[in-house]
Amino acid sequence: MKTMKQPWLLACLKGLLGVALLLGSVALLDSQNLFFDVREANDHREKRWDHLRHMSRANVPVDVVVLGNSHAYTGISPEFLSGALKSNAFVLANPGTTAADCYWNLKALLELHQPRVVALETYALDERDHHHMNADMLVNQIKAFQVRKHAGRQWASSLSLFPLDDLGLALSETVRNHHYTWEGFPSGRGRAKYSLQERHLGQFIRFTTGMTDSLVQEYGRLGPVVDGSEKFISDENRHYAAKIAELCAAQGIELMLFTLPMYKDHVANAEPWMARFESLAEELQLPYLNLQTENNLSQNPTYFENTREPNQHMTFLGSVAASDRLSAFIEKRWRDSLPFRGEDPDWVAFHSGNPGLYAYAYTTAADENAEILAQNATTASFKVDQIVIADVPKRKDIRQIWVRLSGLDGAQVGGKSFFMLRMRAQLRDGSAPSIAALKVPKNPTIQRDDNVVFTTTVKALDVLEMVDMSLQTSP
Amino acid sequence: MLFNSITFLVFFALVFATYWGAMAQHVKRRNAFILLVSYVFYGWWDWRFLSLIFVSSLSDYLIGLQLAKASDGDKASAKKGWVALSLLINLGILGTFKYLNFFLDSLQNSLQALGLESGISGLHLDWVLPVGISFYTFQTLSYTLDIGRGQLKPTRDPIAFFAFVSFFPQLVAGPIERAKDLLPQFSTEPQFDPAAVRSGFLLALWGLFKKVVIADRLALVVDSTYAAGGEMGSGTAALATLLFAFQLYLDFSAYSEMAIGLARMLGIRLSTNFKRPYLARTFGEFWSRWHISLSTWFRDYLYIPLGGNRHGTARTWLNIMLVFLVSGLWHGASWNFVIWGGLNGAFLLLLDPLVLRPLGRLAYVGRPLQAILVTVCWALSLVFFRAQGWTGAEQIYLSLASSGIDFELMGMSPSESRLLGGLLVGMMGIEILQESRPKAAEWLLSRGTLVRWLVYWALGMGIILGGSYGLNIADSKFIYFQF
Repeated sequence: MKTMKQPWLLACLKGLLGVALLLGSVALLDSQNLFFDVREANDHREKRWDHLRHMSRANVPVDVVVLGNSHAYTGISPEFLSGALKSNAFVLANPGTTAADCYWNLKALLELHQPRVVALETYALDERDHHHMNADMLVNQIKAFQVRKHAGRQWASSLSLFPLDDLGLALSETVRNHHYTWEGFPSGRGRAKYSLQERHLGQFIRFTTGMTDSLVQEYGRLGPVVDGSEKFISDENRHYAAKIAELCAAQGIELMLFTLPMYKDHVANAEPWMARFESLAEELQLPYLNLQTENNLSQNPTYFENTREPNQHMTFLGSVAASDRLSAFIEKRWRDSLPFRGEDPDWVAFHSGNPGLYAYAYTTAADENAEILAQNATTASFKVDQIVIADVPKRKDIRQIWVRLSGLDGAQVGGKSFFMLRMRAQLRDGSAPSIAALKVPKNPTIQRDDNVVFTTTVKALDVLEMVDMSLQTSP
Repeated sequence: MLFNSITFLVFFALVFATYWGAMAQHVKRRNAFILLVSYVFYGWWDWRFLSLIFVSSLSDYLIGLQLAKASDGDKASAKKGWVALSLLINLGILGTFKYLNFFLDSLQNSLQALGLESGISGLHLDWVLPVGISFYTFQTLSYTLDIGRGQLKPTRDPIAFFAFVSFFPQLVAGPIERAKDLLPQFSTEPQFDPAAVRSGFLLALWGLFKKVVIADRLALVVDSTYAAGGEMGSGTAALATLLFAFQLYLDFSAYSEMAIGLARMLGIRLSTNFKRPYLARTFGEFWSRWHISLSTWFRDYLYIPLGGNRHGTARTWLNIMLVFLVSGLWHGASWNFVIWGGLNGAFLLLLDPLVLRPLGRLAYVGRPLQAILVTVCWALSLVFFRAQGWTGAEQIYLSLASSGIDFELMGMSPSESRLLGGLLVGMMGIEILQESRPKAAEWLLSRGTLVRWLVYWALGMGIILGGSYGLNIADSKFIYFQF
């Protein structure tokens, strides 16, 4: 080497060798888990991908994918969406991320599944881009990036997700957590514990109770929190929305945009904000579903997180309502594109215990989590599609009765503020059978005219058989 | 683009390879390349302010040529006129972007104190301060001032001159180079010297280590403490004050060392900017060790023209105070900096003859005591440098009179305290070693490849594992970027 005629070239090579040595040292420390496994025990990002991979291995195809950020995984119930569409829906959303992350999520997902419909939730299409990330956004983007777990894909996506200066933080746990060298490792953390045998379709249920009356009243006093006229879509998010559209078009996947709501008084000037999404959808020639301006969603305080923070998410109940509307939208446009799995025993078995199955589809006698009380019975004014009594996950003391009716005309259902099913059933509560009257109110969250659903929660008891039932339309 | 960023690392690697691979063999091409990459480097922050560097460079280049003509014709008044024009343009740019709001605010406050209403608040400019403006305007001014004095011939090569003004390693925080030292280096073909590249690399790496591992770590503590305002005890305030003195030194000297090291890797020599100032025994010595390129600039272009020490004691004192007040104002457009400058002038005039020199006569302990006293007084003066406004400084000084150290308030865990203490003691140990053995770095570099690489690797891993960077840590700009 001493005879090298270009000493500067030798210096460059030495520089490269030096960088390689440092990177190698860091990679070695990474491989030894020097800084522990930092994934939090409840990190739902990783859980989602583990289940997606498991579903791929177990030949459970994903037909509908919802992309977005935390609004999507709290605001859509893939269980109810699956039931309503008689397909498999999955919410592949990461908190705090943008359209670029959605794009790379979709790219990675397409290596495992071939969905027919993709719904992109528009909170991911905000004003941010990867050059202007605050620490929270960076943390979220890094975590979402890491759980895709594919070295080649990670390198390919890295520069579109992170500024060059943050690349080390994204790619190496040693670099990201180096401060623990001096601070000491935090204790009480470990790998997430979950069973792949349990069905998981991507939802993270964070909010189970809605807004309190006092908070609702505060809007009157303090006014809205979010001003839609100040919201816009960054160029980067537009770019990645277009890339998602291109990718879907190339794969023959139907793509739509949709906006989940926040509480109506939470948002001022929602129209100009939503108009931007509508305009983007038009530009990309995509259908757009705006749930913010659907009053029976956005006016219901039980559907929303009890907060005046700008990012107001939906409760679980809200997610059921939003999924109901989304399913109707998808079904209207792409029923023929979607596989109908409602009569597939494997699909029914996979969704056993899923309330979405009982709310929208037929279960079978083989269902270990529910018993069929009646099926396809006809009365003078309506048809009983199915009545089941189902277990409630993680609750031994209660069960739920689900009744699905059809054959009611729209006028009969739509305008009613009161709708109650009165049933008499033979029960065994303890030892001797007895006849009991049950009142089952119409489920107000599910609002499809072709599928009127009644639900109630009862004590855990054996219902032997239905005796009779009648529909009450006034108190 | 910050030196302590991956972006800069990639940028410099590309510049280095292209420079030596394709540019260095032709002087004009090399200068054009330096100019281009320097403008890219500066424009990365805000390309609009490139126009200021361009205007400053162009005007001084043309004025330099006019000064040469006036010198040939021996037209003294014309020379003065051209020098005045150069001053007007450069100080005009500096005054507009850095001092206008300060002067307007001061004027308005004075008028209000006199009970007069003024409409001058409407003249307030909502501009950001262009990075490094104080540095490059002083650098380019030295060119016209030296030509005006007949100490320098003007260059007729505009690209070389523009490259001299904008040379990226020292563009935004110095050292402030003199045209007579730096400009000739843009007229000669650089020779690739592996030894110079090695020593430049080590110096730059050492500077990066000081910045990322020590100065930025200190910054977290100092920022937490100063953010607490008047809620701290005397121990806390004293410790924060002292730690800021170290932060400032390590931050600024790190930048200078990186600048000198990077320039050396490109075959360009820059002047030394720091010589272990916290080992100085008097304030006179301190200022010959601290920000040397600025101190000598003020000495040559302000103190000596004012008469220096040639007109008796009173005038000398006045000149010294004036230089320190202006130097304070150079650092920032605020009365705090003026007071800081004034305090240091007073230290030089009073503490040196009355306390420090007599102290030095004490056997054994005299020298360490001198260095400690200089550092402590300097640190106390820096309260005005660091605090926001008079009130902020007052709160810190008042805290010094209360009691207790609140490590929690300072954001210092026990492990962090130990680490910081170890780093500072190690740092001062190295400074003391360098003071007695100025050739320590050369000695290290001559130890053979394995030792050298071990040092490089240790510094690199030290930066990666010990650096203050990452999530929830704000971008750590160099302190002197704001001046």
